[in-house]
Amino acid sequence: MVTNTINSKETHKVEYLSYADNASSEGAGAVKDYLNTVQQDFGNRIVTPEGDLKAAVSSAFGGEGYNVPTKDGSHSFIISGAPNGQNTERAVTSGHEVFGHGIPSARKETTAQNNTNAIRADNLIRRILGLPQRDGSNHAGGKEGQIVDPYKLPYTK
Amino acid sequence: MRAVKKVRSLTRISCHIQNDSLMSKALLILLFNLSFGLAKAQVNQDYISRERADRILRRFDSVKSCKLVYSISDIYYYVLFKEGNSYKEICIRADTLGNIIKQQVVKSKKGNDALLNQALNIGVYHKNYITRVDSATVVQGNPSYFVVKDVEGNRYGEYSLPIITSPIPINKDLYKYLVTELIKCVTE
Repeated sequence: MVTNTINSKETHKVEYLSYADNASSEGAGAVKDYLNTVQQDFGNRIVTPEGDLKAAVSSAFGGEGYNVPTKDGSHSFIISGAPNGQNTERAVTSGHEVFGHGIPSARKETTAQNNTNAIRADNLIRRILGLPQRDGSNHAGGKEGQIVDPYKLPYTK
Repeated sequence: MRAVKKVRSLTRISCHIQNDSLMSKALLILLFNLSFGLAKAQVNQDYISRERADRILRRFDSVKSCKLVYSISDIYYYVLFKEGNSYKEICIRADTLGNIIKQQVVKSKKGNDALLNQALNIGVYHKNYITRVDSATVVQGNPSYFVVKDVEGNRYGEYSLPIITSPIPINKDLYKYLVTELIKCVTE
């Protein structure tokens, strides 16, 4: 999965941020553009008038990690020190966002496929690290029944 | 995590069961327990969000008008109500147990504001508690909770959904306003 992602035509960018940091201008633009596709003018309101995006904003959306699709791939934020975080192992959060959400985001797959893949990637890394598994019920899409077979391998290879 | 433990313990038990019918019964019990446990966990989270929001609103019991509360992750709260001729907009930060850490009035608007006026109009809302949108095209992010309560404590427009859900079951302009106002408070 790692090799295929590196060799894929899509570009997956990853930003490691502290809660008090500002995201890069590229990251801020990625979030703004994506949210504008979800609701008209939504993204424009999320960034500051100068176009900045605080890591705290990404954290309010996603907790310790947040991923959005971009024109040519995806952009992930991995945030440390989030007040609503659970001190999750950084490798788990990174794998969850980049491989779990990022690959389906870049391929413009459905929200159900995206959420399922994220929990499966999360659990794969957790198994390697000997950490408890997640059933997906506390993840977006869990209540909607979108997360299918959470303990299987991610379907993205 | 709990479900996985059950799977492991029942798998061990099943190794000792030779009879097929007993095995089938064990599997049925396993499936029932798994589905019941998962459903219960989801229901609990929805009602925790409601209970936490109610606790926040109880701080404003002296205000005898409709009140709106919107929360993200059950720790960031935006509260709106009309007091006299003014709209009061309040941001509250709570800890993960629901104890209030910070409360501030962010705006106090006099006069008539079309969006805020509509936000407190109970006639425009659904009356059931929406905890999932099966036809949603986007479901992403942290949990969020919304409700408007009248003076009798009746609930309107109540939902518990991931912060980015499309379609969202309230007015889109109000939704964008609530998220952006609350996020301003979070980042200040």
